[in-house]
Amino acid sequence: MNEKSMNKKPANEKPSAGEPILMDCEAFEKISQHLYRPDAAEAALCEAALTHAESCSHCAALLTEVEWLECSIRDMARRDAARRVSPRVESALLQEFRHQKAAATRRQIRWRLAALGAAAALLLALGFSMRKHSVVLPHSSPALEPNAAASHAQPAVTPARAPVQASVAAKVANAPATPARRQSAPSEMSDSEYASAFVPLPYADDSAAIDGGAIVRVVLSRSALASFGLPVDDFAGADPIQADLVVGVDGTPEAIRLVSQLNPSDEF
Amino acid sequence: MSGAELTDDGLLRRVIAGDEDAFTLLYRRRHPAIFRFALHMCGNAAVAEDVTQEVFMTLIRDAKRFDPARGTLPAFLFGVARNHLRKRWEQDRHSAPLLLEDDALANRLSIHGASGNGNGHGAPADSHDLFASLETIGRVRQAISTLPENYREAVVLCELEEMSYEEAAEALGCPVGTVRSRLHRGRALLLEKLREPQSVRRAAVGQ
Repeated sequence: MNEKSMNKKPANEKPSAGEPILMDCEAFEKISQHLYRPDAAEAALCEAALTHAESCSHCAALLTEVEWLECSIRDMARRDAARRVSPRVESALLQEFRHQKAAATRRQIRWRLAALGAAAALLLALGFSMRKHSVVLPHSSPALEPNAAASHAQPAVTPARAPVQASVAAKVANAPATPARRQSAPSEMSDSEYASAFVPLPYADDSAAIDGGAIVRVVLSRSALASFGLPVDDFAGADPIQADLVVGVDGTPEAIRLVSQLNPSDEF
Repeated sequence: MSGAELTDDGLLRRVIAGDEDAFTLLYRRRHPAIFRFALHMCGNAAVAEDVTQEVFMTLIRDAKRFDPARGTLPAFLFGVARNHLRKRWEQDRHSAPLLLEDDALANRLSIHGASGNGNGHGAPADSHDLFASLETIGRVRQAISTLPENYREAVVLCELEEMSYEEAAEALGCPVGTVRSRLHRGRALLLEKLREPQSVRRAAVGQ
């Protein structure tokens, strides 16, 4: 290789612009495998390598081998480019895709059901908690509200009248049950409720008027109860109180009884 | 689908959302390169098909494993294919790669050509060219299949798949300089492997 020793600058060092590239056999070998894939920066280097091969029989032989290998590999790549995967692979993949999609949908439904269950449990727990703290929600019908409002106008009754009311209450309790009364009889109350005896209202002095009336569940403020002549401990209390009113056939409230919710823990 | 949705990332998002058409499109776009890579790495069409199927099964089952910040989808798929191939090689460590169809054809032509020449009724010229071409391809394929794995990957991606150094580096998860040096060494080794039989044949023809 007489050409080998003739070069002054190693070709693997990047030449500066305009500087001639000196190529030797060693440098040619290094660049030979990249001659057909030159980077833009190596274009000048490849040019120098090809020029060198023209004057060096050893490098010319190597260049021939490299060209042959390049052609063979490209021929092989062309032939292999026509190879196709069997259609069964695509079928199997699509089947798996559908299977995974169905599984994901099932998982999503399970998650939603679990979330709904958790929300329902939370609501129940909240409801029990509110009930424990004796929070009573108003549920009287709007038609009764005027009656309750009207009763506000009644003069306040003094506690001294309580014994008289008790005797009248007994009269009300002993009165024959009419169909309307049976409809709202204490047996209709839920197990979690406790009701006092009916107390006749101050102007209901005729027990016959009670017959044929109806019992209506209302929620009244403490001041309204006081206006019915009932003893109220905490007059300023804001909690409404449930009560049953016996309403006569003419629509006049005749008697009243207090209803309270039993605390479940109190039953034991 | 719009242009943005036709990118690999757009299609993959739709695949994750359960769009079967997007998966079909993505598979048809990307599977040929994965199949050829597996084929050149293992030299067995059936194994290459299995590997291709496993690569896309991985995409179906665990598409969220692909992180666009870490590289392109083809690079990810080549990485999965490499892992599956390695698993295969570990399982079938002692099994030799099978001949591909054109290699088998070359062998048959070789036998036929030898007997034809012996009788004075040689094969036609185009058959001769085909034989030479297939024989050469068979030899190159054989030589590639015996390269060390790192060099083989570089040769397959850069030469057979015609990837740029940058693309190959991304697919192999190594620097561009490493790809260059592996390709250089791989090609040099290929020439060494291919030189010997040629010289032996030349000597036989000369006698």
